[in-house]
Amino acid sequence: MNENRRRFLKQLGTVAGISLGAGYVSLAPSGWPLSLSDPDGEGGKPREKGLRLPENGFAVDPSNVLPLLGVARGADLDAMLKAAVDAIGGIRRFIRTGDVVLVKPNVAFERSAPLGATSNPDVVAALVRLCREAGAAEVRVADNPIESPAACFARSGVQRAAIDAGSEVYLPTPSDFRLLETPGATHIARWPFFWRPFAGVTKVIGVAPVKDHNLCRASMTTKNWYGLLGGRRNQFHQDIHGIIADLALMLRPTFVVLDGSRVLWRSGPTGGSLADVREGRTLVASTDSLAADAFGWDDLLERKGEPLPAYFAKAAERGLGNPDWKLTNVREIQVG
Amino acid sequence: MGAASVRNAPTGLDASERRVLNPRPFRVFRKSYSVTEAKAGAVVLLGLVSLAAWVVWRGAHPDPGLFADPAATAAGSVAIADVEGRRAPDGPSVAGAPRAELSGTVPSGGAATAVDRGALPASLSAPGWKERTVSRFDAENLYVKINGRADFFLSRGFRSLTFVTLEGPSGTTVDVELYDLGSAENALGAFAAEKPPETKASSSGGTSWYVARNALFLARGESYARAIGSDESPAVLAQLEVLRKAFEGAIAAGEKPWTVALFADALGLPPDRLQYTAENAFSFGFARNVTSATLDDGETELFVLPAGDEAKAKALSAKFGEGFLSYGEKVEAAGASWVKDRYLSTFSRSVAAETMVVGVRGAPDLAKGAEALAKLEKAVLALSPDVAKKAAAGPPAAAKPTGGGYE
Repeated sequence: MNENRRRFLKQLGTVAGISLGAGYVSLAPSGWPLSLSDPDGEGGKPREKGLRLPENGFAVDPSNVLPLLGVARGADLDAMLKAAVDAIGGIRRFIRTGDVVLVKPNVAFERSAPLGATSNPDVVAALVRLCREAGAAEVRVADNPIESPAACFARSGVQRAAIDAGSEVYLPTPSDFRLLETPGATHIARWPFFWRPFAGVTKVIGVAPVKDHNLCRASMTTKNWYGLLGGRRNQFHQDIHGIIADLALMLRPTFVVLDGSRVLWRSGPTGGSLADVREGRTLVASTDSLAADAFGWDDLLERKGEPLPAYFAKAAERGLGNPDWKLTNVREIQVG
Repeated sequence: MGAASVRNAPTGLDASERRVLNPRPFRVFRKSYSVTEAKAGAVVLLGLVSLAAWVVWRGAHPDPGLFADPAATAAGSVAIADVEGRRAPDGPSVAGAPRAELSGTVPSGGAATAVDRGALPASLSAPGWKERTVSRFDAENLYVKINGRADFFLSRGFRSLTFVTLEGPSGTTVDVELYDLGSAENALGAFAAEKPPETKASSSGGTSWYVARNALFLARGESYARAIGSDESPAVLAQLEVLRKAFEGAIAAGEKPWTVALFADALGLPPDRLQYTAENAFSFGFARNVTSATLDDGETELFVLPAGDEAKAKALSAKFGEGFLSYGEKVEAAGASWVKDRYLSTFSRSVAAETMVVGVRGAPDLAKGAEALAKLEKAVLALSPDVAKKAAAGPPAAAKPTGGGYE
């Protein structure tokens, strides 16, 4: 009987051990060792290897001598853009012969250009021409709009202007997105990214309009990188300032152009009424997105004195720019 | 074929216990095997190995759709057209777009195939204009159309958006957005919130509207409409006028909201000044279903909200008092307690008026604030019990996204 009891207890122990083990692996929270818990089904998906952008992004060597902000005012957009870029070192500081350049405008909405919800197509065209004149082997224009990409690019006029100026326009398709790894990012450490236009690119330039924004109060060059994200990016609006700070970390451009030719000063980001748009007659070029955006906040949105949106501080804390543009070297030029 | 097995089971156990406690579970008692069994076993084994191999192979070659941009995939037919279009065969290059789209005559909307028109009138176009495809959006996919602005409507009872582009002569367009916001309060609230302060709206026959250069904004019944012209040419303005008349003729004005009767009819304030806030009014978590209107000075704000019964109204009024006190200090005037804002030097006060709470907020002049509050209180007390009961129910709740969209 002792032998039977011993055998019984051994078998009972085995069954109990197996049950406890099975219970643990199935019920333990997903982060625990050996846990098989997969509440959202993501764990069952194959793990794609993420891509990474270059270590220092697409930035050129910083300069202690040149101005950080080039501000051009006037009416001739080509001359203004050249003057603004010249102020920060000239286009040849940034673009070399043979470069493959990606220009990222904001074409988020299906709105005609005068409504100010998208980058001015004439500014995009001027930028493409400037890069071409500097010897760029190829200039690409790409964005992942909110609405139908084809409709947004056509209605905004960016498509026609960019092509006529000598660039190739990339519209997003589902297969153009790859997982991008952004170490240190809060929300987009691994996130689908509009990758296809980046293949082989050596320089990246953002060109963004100056817009009021319903959630983050202002959408300018830093928020513009949102248009490179795929996936359920709308969920980021729950922490809009956090995601914009992540965007500054994700993409460090060669330089940015703040398109203040028109200013959507209210009812943003979609706008709709010409009464919400005023002439800005200003273009800003900078290697510091935060400085350019802070200038836009003070000078173009005319919100000087109001506290900057929270994303400025969040991005500045990570060393991604200097929102205190008045402390930087600024060169302002009147064109014409 | 099979041989009889001889089991060496422990003694002293009954038959059922012997089955459970087999002391030699891995011993094979059969002396020979059925060839059929062996073949069947081999087939099953082969099947399992094949299955395992297929799982391993699929793991190494996943469906690209798993990595596709869900937003683009959700864009339905338009996104598929983009994929299929790819590169233009000649002329200027556009990666990912059909050649025809270079002309600008692309289908708009982006998120939906042709659907029912909802409250959209059957005939919208002026002579020489034509409609493109109608598309509709609900709370789940509104972000596809107006990401960034979606929350504005979701917080105002949003139910659906019907969208259509009208195409006119010389490539001019008018984008028509018709929002079903579930109640007249929400429609008027959205209308008032988007109206520039310097713009004067017109109100007649249950319609409030104004034209801001190239765009028509209109609230009628539960609907709020925006018609956005590509420019402010005479053709666009004529089309906007056609749209206004079409909306007036086709959309039910519905019953006049009690808040309009209160603020517009009884107090003489323009209906387009009414603001309805479903939750968290004035940043007070307890303030729900609040309707407010600003007086002519542009600063003094009158507000009213139903509390349900008199006791609740008194308690809620006291909460407003505490809320105002967090920004200032108490002052007494003509036997009434007011709160003076320590930063703005404006005055606020709330009182219970039967089952409602009424109040004034941000009054730069205490005497004028008191006068306005007295008028509002008197008007509320003159409301019929039926209206008060209906008001207490509040407008229908907003359609909330259930997941995936706005987590």
